[in-house]
Amino acid sequence: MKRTASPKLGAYAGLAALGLLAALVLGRPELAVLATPFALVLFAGLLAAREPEIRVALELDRERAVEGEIVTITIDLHAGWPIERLELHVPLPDDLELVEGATPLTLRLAWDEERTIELQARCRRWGAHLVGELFLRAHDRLDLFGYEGTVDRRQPLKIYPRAEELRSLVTPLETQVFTGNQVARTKGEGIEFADLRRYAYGDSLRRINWRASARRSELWVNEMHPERNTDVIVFLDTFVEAREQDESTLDVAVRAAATLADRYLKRKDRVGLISFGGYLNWLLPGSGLVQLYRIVDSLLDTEIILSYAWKGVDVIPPRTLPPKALIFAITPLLDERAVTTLIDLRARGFDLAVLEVSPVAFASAATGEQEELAHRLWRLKRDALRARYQRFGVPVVEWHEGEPLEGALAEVGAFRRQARYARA
Amino acid sequence: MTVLALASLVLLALALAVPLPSLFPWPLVVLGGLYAWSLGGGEIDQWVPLYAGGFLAVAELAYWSVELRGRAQDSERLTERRAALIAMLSLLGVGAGGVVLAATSLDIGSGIAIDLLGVAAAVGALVVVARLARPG
Repeated sequence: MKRTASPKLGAYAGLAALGLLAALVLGRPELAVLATPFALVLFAGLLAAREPEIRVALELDRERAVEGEIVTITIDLHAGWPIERLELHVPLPDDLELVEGATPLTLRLAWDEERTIELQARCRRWGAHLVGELFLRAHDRLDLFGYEGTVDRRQPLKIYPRAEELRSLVTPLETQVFTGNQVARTKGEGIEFADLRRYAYGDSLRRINWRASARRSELWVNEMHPERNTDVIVFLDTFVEAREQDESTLDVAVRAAATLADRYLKRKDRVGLISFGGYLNWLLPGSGLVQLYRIVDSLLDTEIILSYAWKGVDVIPPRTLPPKALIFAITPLLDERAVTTLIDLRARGFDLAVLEVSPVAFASAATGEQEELAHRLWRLKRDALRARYQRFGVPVVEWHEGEPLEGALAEVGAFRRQARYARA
Repeated sequence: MTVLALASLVLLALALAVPLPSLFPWPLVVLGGLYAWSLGGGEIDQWVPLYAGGFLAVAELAYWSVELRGRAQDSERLTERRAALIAMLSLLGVGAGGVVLAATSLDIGSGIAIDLLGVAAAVGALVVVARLARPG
């Protein structure tokens, strides 16, 4: 720890010296008497000054948490020598809000004392952080010296986005070849009835539909729809965001992406991720719990990086867009590059659905007639953009923060059931 | 003299209000100078140990007030301990001042040699202070 002298040290030394010298010069012993207490404090403080011996340990009760959960930070202190006054500060990231305990904190440690301090912080927003850099400042009993130091006990803390409960999802139009939970349109081994056909050599006897066979005086068998998995690509637009204070469209979009990934993976579907913005990031489709952690960890690194370079579909690696996959885009539809890329994807025949994270709530309220007019024109322009997507057969649902995601997904599903495809 | 005394109080009040710890010693220097002037060539003032304790208390309280403003939350009763410490230091200052005052009544002679010894002692004390106060 680095030792620094307090202002008192120089002041007392000066007062003591001035008093003694004045006493000599003026021949008045009273001035020496006035200087005596300052000299006494000075010498006592200097002789007793000693660098503190302190051991610090910091522990988080977990490495992963979900938004809204409380994380406990435990700090263990052990002092070899008494420390009259110890100031301790643990800076917390903005995404953590202290709910119990205090930092900075002042305390006193006796000889060989061990002390445990607990801080509880609420995880306000998703993200990946390092928590545990401690700033210490110790003072001696007479406050002549300060000892400052930093202790690095940083540990990773990942705060995952809070996932919503969903009862239904948008169903991709096409299925894949692996077993899953979605009823395929093809015929094969399954439990959902599809059709009847004449018995062919090799058909299982359990498939015979006896009622139909009795009517037709020949054997007929049931054909079933198999259950297959699907491929879903979550397409996250990270070019720009609309922000108001602590919340932004990106925060909402990441929560929606995490929710969708979690639900689709639970259905045994394969889920991939494309973070399309100033910084392109992708994950190839995969399934299972490991893929969920990969996707969520990738989402934690999501941030807006401003870029003016034009980006289109060609920068996206082809393997991240498997054929017959549903591309679920989550976007505020603010950047032309994302808008154009999604239309390009639709034109190339991909199954596309767009969840528009509405930036309207994050825009400042219009004041004055001109601003109100501009605001209305902006909203009309956005309505026209949605209509353009819908002409291509792409469902676009405006989703406002605070509304349940399930409602927006239901709208997407309703559009897909009734959509008439227009020529691109 | 009254004006100067009031001015030193105003200076102390200003230093506390801003706060400016570097200004704290100066009101005490002014008050000490006024006290020396008031002594003139008279007899030794027997009450001076009390004034010494008072001066120390003023200085300690001034620095403590600045420290309290920037202090983090106390997890225990440090304020009470510090108040008790200041009171004890003031009393010890009075006692030490009394000892020094008593020592002035000893007859060890006079002359330049004694004066030089005193100067050397003062300078030596400052050197010791400077060495001990070196940043570690």
